[in-house]
Amino acid sequence: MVKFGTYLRNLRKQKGLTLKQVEKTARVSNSFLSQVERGVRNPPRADILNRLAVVYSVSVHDLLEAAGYVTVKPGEMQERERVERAYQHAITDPGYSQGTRMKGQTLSIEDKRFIVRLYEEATGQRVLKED
Amino acid sequence: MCCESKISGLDALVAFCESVGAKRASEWPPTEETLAQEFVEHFNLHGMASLNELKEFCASSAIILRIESLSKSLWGYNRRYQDKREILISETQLLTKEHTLLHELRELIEYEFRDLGMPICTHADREERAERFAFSVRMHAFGRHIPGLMDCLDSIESTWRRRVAHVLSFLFIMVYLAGLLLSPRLEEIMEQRRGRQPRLRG
Repeated sequence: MVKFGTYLRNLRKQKGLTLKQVEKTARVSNSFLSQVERGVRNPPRADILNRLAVVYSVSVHDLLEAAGYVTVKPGEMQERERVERAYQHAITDPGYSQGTRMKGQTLSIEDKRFIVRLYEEATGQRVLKED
Repeated sequence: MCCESKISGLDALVAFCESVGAKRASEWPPTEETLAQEFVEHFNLHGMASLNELKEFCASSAIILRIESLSKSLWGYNRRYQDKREILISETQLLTKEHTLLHELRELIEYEFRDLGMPICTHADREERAERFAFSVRMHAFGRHIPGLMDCLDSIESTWRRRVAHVLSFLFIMVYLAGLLLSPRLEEIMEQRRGRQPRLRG
């Protein structure tokens, strides 16, 4: 599994945010966040992860898992990572443009799976492959 | 609502974006209110922007519209792949299907602006802008009715009837605009309540 700091940095980069912008919206010190991303500090507390989840548009459960606060069955983790990889593929395909109007701030793994299915339907590609 | 763009099908949205790009180049990027106004004028939209009227618009602009069950967190979804544009709307919405459709339409428009090298939105403000556009289009489309309505009211001969008609029209306009503004929030509240309702045991 990817280290928590790297995972957090990737989420921030995907959103195109700077540490200062995250500091402002999530009310987390940018120096603290930088240290977490570099692996110098341990993952933040759950309440901070909750605020980061909103800013990064991921579920707080995903962050808690990545931080090691919640454990999931090995098969379930593998499935989540498989869907997440397929979802990242779908949303970064330059030939495919897509957007949503969401009920909340974050997408669950089921929502991501749904979006991947729509991507597969449109492009004819199979990205949610069985490992 | 009428859709009387001179160009139909796939090129209609592109032509709209090119037209706005040329007209508003000196003040780029335009605000969502300006873009909505341009949209309403370009496609000659007028009326209440009902779902059936918007369906008609999508059909004339080669946008496939599907109203069906979507994943739990989604009100709407849009996609463009090659020449195919599609909007999916959650069937569970009671008040905001039209709003969601216009939100998704705004994102489809943004893809065309991006292709023209004139993007308007950033990743961060895309959703907020699409929400403002959806509201503004409906407001501008409705606003085009008002001069005709006023002329109609002014033609009432009886003074007291004319005054009553003006008051009632004013109230109707206020209620309609408040409805446009508040419907997304009301839909969210209703959705939360639906989520909290206990399930019946069989």
